[in-house]
Amino acid sequence: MPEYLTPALAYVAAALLVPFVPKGALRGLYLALVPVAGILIFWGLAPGTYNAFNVMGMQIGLMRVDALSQLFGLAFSVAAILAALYAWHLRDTIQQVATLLYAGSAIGAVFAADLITLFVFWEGTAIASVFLIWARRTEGSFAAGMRYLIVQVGSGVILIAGIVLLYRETGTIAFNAMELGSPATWTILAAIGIKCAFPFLHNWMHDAYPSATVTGTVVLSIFTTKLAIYALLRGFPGTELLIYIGIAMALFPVAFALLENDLRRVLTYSLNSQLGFMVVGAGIGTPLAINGAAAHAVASIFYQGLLFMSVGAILFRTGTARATALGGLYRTMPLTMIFCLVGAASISALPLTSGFVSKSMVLSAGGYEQMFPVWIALLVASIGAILHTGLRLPYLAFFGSDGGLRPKEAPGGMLLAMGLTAALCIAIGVLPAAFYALLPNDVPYEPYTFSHTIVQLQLVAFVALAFAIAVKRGLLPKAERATILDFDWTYRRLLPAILVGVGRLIAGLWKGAGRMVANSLNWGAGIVYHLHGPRGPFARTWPTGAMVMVVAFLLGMTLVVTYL
Amino acid sequence: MTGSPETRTSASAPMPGSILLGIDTARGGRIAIWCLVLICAGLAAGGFVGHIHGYFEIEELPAFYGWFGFLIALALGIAAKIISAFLRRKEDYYGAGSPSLEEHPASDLGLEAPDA
Amino acid sequence: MMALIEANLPALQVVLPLIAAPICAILGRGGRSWAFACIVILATFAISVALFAQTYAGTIISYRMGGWEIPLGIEYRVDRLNAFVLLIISGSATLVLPYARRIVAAEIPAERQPLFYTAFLLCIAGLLGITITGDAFNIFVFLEISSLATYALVASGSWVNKRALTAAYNYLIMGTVGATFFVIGVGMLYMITGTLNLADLAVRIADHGDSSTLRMGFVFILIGIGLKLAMFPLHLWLPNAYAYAPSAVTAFLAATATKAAVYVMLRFMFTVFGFDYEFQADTLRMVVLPLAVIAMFAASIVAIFQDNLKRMLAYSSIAQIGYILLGLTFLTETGLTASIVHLFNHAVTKAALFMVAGCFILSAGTCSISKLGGIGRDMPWTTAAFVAGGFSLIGLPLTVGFISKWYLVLAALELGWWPVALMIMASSLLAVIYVWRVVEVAYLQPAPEGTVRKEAPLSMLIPTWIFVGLSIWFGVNAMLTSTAAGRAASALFDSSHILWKE
Repeated sequence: MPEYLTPALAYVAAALLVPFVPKGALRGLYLALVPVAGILIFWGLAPGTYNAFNVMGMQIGLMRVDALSQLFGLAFSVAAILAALYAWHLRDTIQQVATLLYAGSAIGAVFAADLITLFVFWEGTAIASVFLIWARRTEGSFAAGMRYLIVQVGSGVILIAGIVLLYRETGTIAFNAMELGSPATWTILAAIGIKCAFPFLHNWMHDAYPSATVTGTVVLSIFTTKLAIYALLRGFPGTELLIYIGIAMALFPVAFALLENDLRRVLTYSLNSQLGFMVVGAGIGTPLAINGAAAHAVASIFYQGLLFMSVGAILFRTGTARATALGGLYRTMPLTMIFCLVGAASISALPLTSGFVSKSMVLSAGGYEQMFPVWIALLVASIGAILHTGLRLPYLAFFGSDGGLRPKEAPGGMLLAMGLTAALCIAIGVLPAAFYALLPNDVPYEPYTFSHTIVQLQLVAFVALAFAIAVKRGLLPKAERATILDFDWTYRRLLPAILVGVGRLIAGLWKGAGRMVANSLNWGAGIVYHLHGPRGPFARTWPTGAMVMVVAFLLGMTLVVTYL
Repeated sequence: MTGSPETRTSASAPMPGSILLGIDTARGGRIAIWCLVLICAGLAAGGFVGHIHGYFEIEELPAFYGWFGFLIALALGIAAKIISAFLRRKEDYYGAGSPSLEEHPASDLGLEAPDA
Repeated sequence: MMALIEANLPALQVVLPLIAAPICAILGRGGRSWAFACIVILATFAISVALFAQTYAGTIISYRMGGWEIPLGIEYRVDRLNAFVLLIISGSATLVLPYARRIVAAEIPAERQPLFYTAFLLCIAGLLGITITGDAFNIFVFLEISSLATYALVASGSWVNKRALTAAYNYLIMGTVGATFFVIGVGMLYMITGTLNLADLAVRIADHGDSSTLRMGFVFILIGIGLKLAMFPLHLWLPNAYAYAPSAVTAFLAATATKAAVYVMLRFMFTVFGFDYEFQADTLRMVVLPLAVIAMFAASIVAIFQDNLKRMLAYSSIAQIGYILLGLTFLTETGLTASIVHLFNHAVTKAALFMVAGCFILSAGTCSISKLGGIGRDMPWTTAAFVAGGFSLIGLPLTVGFISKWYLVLAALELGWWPVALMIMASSLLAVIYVWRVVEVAYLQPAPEGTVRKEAPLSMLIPTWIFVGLSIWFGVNAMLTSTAAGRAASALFDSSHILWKE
């Protein structure tokens, strides 16, 4: 029955109706139920491509159902429900509509069987999500949203360029695994790389996410980057280059996450680093690695979402997410603290949490392939994650030096959403078999061996000890209100400086060239006017004369060409 | 902002936050560190109970994950500290329009004190 | 009666506005003449739609003026290509006239308004005539009718800014030079073939053989029409004419005048000359191709530095004409499709943008970009229309601009002309810059002290948004336009004798 639909249509239709649903509990319920309807559309469909048709000789397929797309579709849908609960208190119709459209686009993109459909939803996520940033309604967020939109739409434009090239090259627009090598595939990879926040393409994320609204940041953290991971898993599995990109991506944000003061920025860097794990998994490309990347993406949707939710709750109640202003919140926001700690435990891959059963798959995939440098780099990045997000973030927010703030506990909707998300993180960790059954490849994997469990516990405990000692001895960088320079310095500072120089140069040349042209025109015109009398009275007409000169010149040139 | 006058007196937090009261004092910190030392020792010892299977030889070293984690964590902290010397700038480095300088608008918030 | 009308549709298409023009002049008072012009244009548009529907399937309507036999008498010939162009011209006029009411009232004194609408009708009649006629000399006649009307229309901008007079004067000189070149070229063709009927000319040129008279004729027509369609560097008349003409006129001219000239260019190049001889294709590729590419860049760069919004858009038009000419010089069916579809797409986009400029002028009294700070907050609908039109100008997906660029890039890649494809994309980036400049000022800069600006009246907003809507509708669903353009292109292509046709 529902096979002529894509879930995206359900979301779009629902979004159009939002303004007509009375604000309050009814609307909250409505928003939380839309993703359920979305799940009903694709869940239980036999694998295959549905809703395919032909447009201008190109095969469009709106619904490709297989294990990978169902996994991501389900994860996005569940996350959308949780985000809707989290935003229960919200009375801002724009954000509600944007969230639905954004989630719908992301889910639509996941089920796209062809690149054109992917592209349409790709741009859909960009355009819908920017309203979550603008909804903060400040000058700064408007500018940040604009920058975000340019990058995101730019990614789409690059994607469509790649699609055109691919179509020229292969005559098909089907979205399947590609071999890196032609300009087409490089272009498509670049487009995905932007959305995925590859190193040097990552600044949009750290610029935009902390500039969004309380609920907007949570929603943003779920979809865009994971969609890009999905696209990598689908389009470029086993591309060796991705391993190196992923390693760089897992490692470099560690330092920034340790330095940042704004906890939402800490989380974007930590998200960036976690994405690196998934990119490595996609790059290794073995069935286990693909499973690991997919599992980690799904797990990270929830634990990273949970962390963003808890920091959002703090921001919601205190008005700030700056570590320097926070501290000691465990007194009055204990539930938020507990949920935050569950998220922190998950990102630290503590046994019985989702991070443990997903992250270890990626590491094992590297281990099985005997890729020692990959394995050790990911281990270092894991240690970094324990350090900056597993320990430092909850420490700065809930413990640490008392910031003197005594806010009220988060509102009910937020607590419910965080509670459910936390439960999900633990459920995945406790029942890995059920979770693994959803993964795309059928590879047996057992996370809870004696040796794996004990070494992971050792790792977390010793890092915790190191953290405690470092805090006591002042070995960690202090949280300070500051700007930490990232790669965006090159285009926010260096490039403008260069451009100003070049601009001056060009302006000079332009002036010079203009003078030259004007002089020569004057000279040319002078000959004509000599026949017409003194220049003065005719001064106003000389541009016309120059124009006619141009015409005559072109006529002559063309005649010469014609007779050649 | 809702800075309340009361400080670290016992009854200032509802359950379950009150259980943890005092954890952020110097004494609490010392206790936490010693607890961690005990846990680490226990886990390191636990590693010898069974055989540790790894993908690489290095993993078979005694309590490899423990000391490796410890050292790398300290190294990362110190490295970040060094990097901060190079990358840290004034907050308004990118000009006054930067969103990180703004206060989050109150319309998006629900500022409330616990007894409100 | 109906049958009579139906049989004479091609003639009515031109004759109706032509006869209506003097009547309009004697109606007096702005309001009455405006309403009359609206009714006439609506009827003209209906005729265009009927002609388009009749020819969409591929029928060619051949209408004998006065019943004379064809090579002697004047033939009106409607096929898919010019039916499409007729639709663009009369459609634009239909939308521009309702828009014109308010802005004309603000820019032109009441007692002059009937004359303004008269000139407007004459201009439309001329443009429609150029497009519909199948006779070379008749083209010249209508070219002159439309041009003379246009000079008057541009000059009527002088009530606001005296520089409109110089602009009109320059345009007059250049337009006359162009028309003269054209008629010289036609005369040379007549010398060697003895006919003025386009279809007949095509056959006789093929039979006649190469000669230097033919080559001279070819070059004169190319340059003459190149002037009318503002081919770089023959565009010098255009920026001032567009900038100082009344806003409604600019919107109309931008959508139609150069488009009619492009049509004549297409008709002559493909049907009449038909690439029987190698020199024709060589000239196009050695002269027009590089000029088109230069136009894409040079005009766009100049646009970036403009402060007057209308001038900026005018330079952007020159760049866009570069794209149209570029598609033509590919000499492939896809290239032609790109050119023809861009005729429509650019008409829609530019009309919308110039209309926005008009709205700004009406409300803010200026279209100097530096004085439009914060206008996005005072005139949200108008500014949003600019943003949407700007997107189309850049060629972002889901706008018509994207469809044009898609076909153009496809055509370049088909020939394996990689650098050209890259240059098309690179020049789009320049459009990003000049569009962004306006967006930045409109949204991110504070309003100048003490300005009071109201949203534009609905009579102006609605036509503007219809154009914007069209530019999005046909960007999402390009089936109708691209099919029509593709069919027109293949008809043109088949009527030529391109030697290396695969």
